Amino acid sequence: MTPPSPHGATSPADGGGKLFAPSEWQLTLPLALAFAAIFLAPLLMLIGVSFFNDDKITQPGFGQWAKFYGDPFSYKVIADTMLLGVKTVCATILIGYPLALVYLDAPQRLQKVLIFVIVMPLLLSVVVRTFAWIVVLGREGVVNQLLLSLGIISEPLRLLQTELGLVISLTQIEMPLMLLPLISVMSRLDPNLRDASAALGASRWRTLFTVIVPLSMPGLVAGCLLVFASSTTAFISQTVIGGVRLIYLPLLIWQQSLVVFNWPFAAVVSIALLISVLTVVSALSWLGRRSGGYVHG
Amino acid sequence: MIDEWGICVGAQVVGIGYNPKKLPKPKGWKDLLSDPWVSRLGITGFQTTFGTVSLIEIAKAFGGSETNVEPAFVELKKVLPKIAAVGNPAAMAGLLQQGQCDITYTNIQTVAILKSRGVDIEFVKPDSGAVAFFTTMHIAKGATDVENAYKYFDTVVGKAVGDALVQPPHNFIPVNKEVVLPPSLPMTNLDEMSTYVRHDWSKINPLRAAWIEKFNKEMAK
Repeated sequence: MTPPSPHGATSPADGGGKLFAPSEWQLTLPLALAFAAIFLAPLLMLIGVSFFNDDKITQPGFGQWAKFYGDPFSYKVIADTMLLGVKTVCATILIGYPLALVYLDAPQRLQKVLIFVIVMPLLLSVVVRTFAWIVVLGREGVVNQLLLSLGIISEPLRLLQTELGLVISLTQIEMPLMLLPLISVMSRLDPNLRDASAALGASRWRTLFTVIVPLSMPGLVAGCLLVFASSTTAFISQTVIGGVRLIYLPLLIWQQSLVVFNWPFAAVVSIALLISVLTVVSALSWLGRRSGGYVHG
Repeated sequence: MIDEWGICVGAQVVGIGYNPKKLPKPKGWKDLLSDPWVSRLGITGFQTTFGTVSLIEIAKAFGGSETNVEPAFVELKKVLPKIAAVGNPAAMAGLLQQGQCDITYTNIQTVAILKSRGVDIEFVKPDSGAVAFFTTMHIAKGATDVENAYKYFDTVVGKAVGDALVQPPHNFIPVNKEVVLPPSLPMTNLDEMSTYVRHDWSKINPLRAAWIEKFNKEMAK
């Protein structure tokens, strides 16, 4: 799985020239039409629906927008959702990056085993993984029973229905999305660069921070992008593990559309989620483009 | 049971489900919010019928009514840090099974299903009365095969289907008086249900959306 290449940069791999002549744009038509019909049109409908005042979608107006953005609670929910994404990204980097480094230095056979271990969670559905975490984090679950039997705690820890438990489980659930781009980029690192750094007298830590990290930035940025987008919109995990006291945007959207059937308000909240996630994703992409300079000079 | 909108085809009874091995038997709704039950309490919001009626009953126990659930919010807010779990309605059975909470308001059907899975749980009719609500069937406007739709209604409320649905794993409560009630239900015949608490949904429905939003804001950490 290759990470998205920085916009406008031509990869050295294709010889420096463009792949298509500009006059062959017709080749993009089938996918573009499918994209327009399946993605763009419903999105425009969603935006259109948000501009109605009543839940029966008969009177146009800005009522629902005013209701959402005029309520301080909405800003709390948006901030909490974005923060959840940030926390999950940080946790996956903390655990995933060292694992990627281990992969880098491992012998071929161990690399194959590692790849299988990393991809294995993806073989299960998200729902199954989420429910497995209930068994692990619950009051009578694996973690608590282990800590109680070791005598480290005397009362079961409250991990389920807390943000800590949610971040822990989301970290494991989203880990493959961070590791696969990272490993893909890091395995293309020229090993000579690391040897050169060592030969010039840099310590291992210095090599890590001045050579390896900058060169792996495109993979890191791609991983952050995927983990952020996935964890902020992970409705199942957020509600099943986080419970109803942790209110995030996906829960609001579900309540408004499938319980209360207030479609315009649900549309407004959906657009809020879309804009918030897109803002962060664009910022990360910009970072990725800038860091691409390290890789391609 | 029949009005110009539709026909009732099944019933649900709502009360308190609790783990008798871990907690003493509660008497009514007020007990839920006091020790020792409140620290093992699981609650859910207004997204479902059983959640709505239970919260209305809790409000009534503290001076509210069908249309005024403020007292329930006030009392819940007071004990919020002690409550064991606040979950989505569908998750409540799982939380009971996992031991995350040991007492909650729920349907008889949920209690029967959990019992059949070996979970220690008992159903209690609150002292203010168990709550009953009905599942209804309607014909959509503009339906083309109305005759067959009526025949289907007749089949669903008939004895044969009723007999099948009272058995596990469905554990429905029938509306047909000829169906024999299994011992798992807290009543011996359907006439007892006329003593149960019923609600006027035409008054509750317009208020529910606002209650759902208020529940979010009150419960949010």
